[in-house]
Amino acid sequence: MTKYWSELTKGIVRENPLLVLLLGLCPSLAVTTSVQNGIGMGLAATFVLVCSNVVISMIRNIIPPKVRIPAFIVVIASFVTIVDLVLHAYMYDLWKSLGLFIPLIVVNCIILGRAEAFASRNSVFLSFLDGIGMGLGFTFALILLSSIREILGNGSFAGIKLFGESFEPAVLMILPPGAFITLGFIVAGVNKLNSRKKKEGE
Amino acid sequence: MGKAKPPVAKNIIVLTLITIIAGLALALTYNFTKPAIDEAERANILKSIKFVFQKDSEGNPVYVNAPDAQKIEYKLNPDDPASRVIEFYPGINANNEIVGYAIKNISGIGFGGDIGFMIGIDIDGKINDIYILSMAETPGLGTKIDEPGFKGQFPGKSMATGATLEITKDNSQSGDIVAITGATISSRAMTTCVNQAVKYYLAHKDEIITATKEKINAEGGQK
Amino acid sequence: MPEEKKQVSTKPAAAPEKTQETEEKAIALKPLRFSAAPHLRDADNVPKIMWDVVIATLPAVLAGVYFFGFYAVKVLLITTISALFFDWAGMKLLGNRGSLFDGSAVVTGVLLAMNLPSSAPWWLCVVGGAIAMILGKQCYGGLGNNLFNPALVSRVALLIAWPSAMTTFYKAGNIFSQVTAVSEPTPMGVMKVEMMSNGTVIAAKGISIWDMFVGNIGGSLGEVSGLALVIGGVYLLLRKRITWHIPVIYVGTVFLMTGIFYLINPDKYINPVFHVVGGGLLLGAIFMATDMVTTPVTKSGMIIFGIGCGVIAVIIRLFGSYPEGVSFSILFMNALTPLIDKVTIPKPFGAIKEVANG
Repeated sequence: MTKYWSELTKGIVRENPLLVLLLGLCPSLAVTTSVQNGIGMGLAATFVLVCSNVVISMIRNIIPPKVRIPAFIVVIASFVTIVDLVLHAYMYDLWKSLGLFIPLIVVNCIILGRAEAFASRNSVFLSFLDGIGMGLGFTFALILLSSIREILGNGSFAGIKLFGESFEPAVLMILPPGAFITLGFIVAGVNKLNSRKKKEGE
Repeated sequence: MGKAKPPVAKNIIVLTLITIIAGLALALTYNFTKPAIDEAERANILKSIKFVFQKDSEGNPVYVNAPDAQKIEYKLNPDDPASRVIEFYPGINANNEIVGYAIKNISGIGFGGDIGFMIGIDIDGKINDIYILSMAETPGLGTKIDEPGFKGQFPGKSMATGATLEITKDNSQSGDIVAITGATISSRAMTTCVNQAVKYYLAHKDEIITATKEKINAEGGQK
Repeated sequence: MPEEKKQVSTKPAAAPEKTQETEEKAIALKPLRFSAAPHLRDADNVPKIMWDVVIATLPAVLAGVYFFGFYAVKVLLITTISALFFDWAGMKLLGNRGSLFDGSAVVTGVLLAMNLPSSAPWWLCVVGGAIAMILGKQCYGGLGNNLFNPALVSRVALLIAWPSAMTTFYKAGNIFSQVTAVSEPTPMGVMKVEMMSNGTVIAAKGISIWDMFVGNIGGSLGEVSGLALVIGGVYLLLRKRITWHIPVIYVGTVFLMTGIFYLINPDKYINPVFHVVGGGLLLGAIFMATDMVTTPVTKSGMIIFGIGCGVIAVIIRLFGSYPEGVSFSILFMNALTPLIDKVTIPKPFGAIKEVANG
């Protein structure tokens, strides 16, 4: 039981894909301009991650090692296209604001990385848990990043204005440099936390 | 080395199978979502048309037709095959009279690329409201053209006398539209684009109204 | 020799608890190391250099105060105090070494204030000081370690964060009659709007070159007066705090390039004198592009740096969407400085090989 629990929770803080493994930076930096976008991107990536992990784990024994990367990519790209079509049809505004970055989930290192490092070597159920954990960790990191950026850069949280008229939002924060600066400070904070934990462990 | 052949064949077969299954899954999803996607795209255009049209006292738009069905398109420069297209969406009320148009026009002189506008006018060319369909202006600066402080200067303005909306930098100078400080280029792009659309309408008014009536009649005949 | 090498190699990891003795040894060893850092052989020099820079900024600061009155004084004071505070806070927070009273924070504060419009609200000045010191300097490890000029990092960050507040300039008046808070575009702004909307420069040509040279124009409070900036530059040259290479080559490149465009089409491009005195070029060339920490150490490196700055600034001014390209050009070349140094520093007696192997 603890094994399953640990596979599920490792992605949230200990091996957080964005904040510790620094994977999937491209979509994370680009779409975290508002909390809605952060949640939307996080959940879209989680869906793709869980589905591709499960499918790849199911077919892991019939894929010849030499063609495993193309096979993984085909599986991942199919799920991404499905997400793209479904969002376009039923969540038009979110689809419009995420734009190009939905198709780009295909090249998100987290997904291929988990397929290669985990799903192709573990059972379906473990891969499922791994996908959920990593996906939630990714979503959590995106929400953190996008909250800071939206509050400072637009003076709002999930579209709700937080401050009065006199607050002048720092547009820099919702532009690309703001993403790098915020991520830098968050990663510094997480490293500090993790190193403190290690010291305590010793 | 002689053993190399069977694995290659297996590689090909497995990869082909995966691709076929993936292709099938995608085709199914596409067919399933296609109507919803078209509907969403159409709803987006209709939303912008509804936004810019005159409303009655209850806040409902005054037209009863589906404006996108009677869309009329013109090339701004008929001689140039790559010319920008200006689109007119007519609004028709319950008495079968044309009450105005929503004009879709694109400005090519924005600060961050093209800006798409939907401009609502009444039958005489008086501006009712403006909706920004797409833009890539600087957030916090150029994007202020979508805020009431700037956009609110347009409704009610009329160019029926043949005048152009003039843009100025501050209140002390004469002019119709006061530019946003620090975003003169975005302000000018929007003003120029509105001028162009309304002037095009006024210059070709008879032609556009005739074309609209033809479309309505054609539809009526089909029924 | 092995012992010395050990000292050198432990230096980058220098922790605050380092003893006085090792610190002295590290300083004594510094001349052996070749790097982009300031060639400070002796800690006493830092304040001397920094206060000389402060003195050199005085003419331009006074000109700013003359033209913008109380507003300029307010911006200068708040920015400098903020820079001092956040320099201290950054040192405490990150455990960097350094002294609050070496004058470097004052220099950054004053230079940043000179880059701000006189209309800047108080919070903009405070945030500016914080960005310069925390993000521009202490995050890199404090004085001498920063890659970019902290004042420019802050200016550009503020420009992108609050474009409206950073591009609203008060009209120059003078301190004896009342200075009014009426906004006026900078000459470069006038030129850019015209170029982008009509492709002409007629209105920009109407601005008097003399007004631009003296400073009777809209602009950041320290950039308006070319005359005062040149006086400060001459002082720095006479005190041997800077060499002529970067400023002269930077301004020369801009003059030459814009001159060529002007000769090709005088209706579309404005004359080169306008480019030299109409914007922040002199401020950037004399005070920002000569910062010891972030610019090349060799003469040939300085020449490359100056040409690079000039070319980038002209390209942004003429073809970019920003009216002013000076800050961007200097930051860009700051990023290239380590490379320029690597290429241009002569090999000192085979010492490089030893360091590389160690």
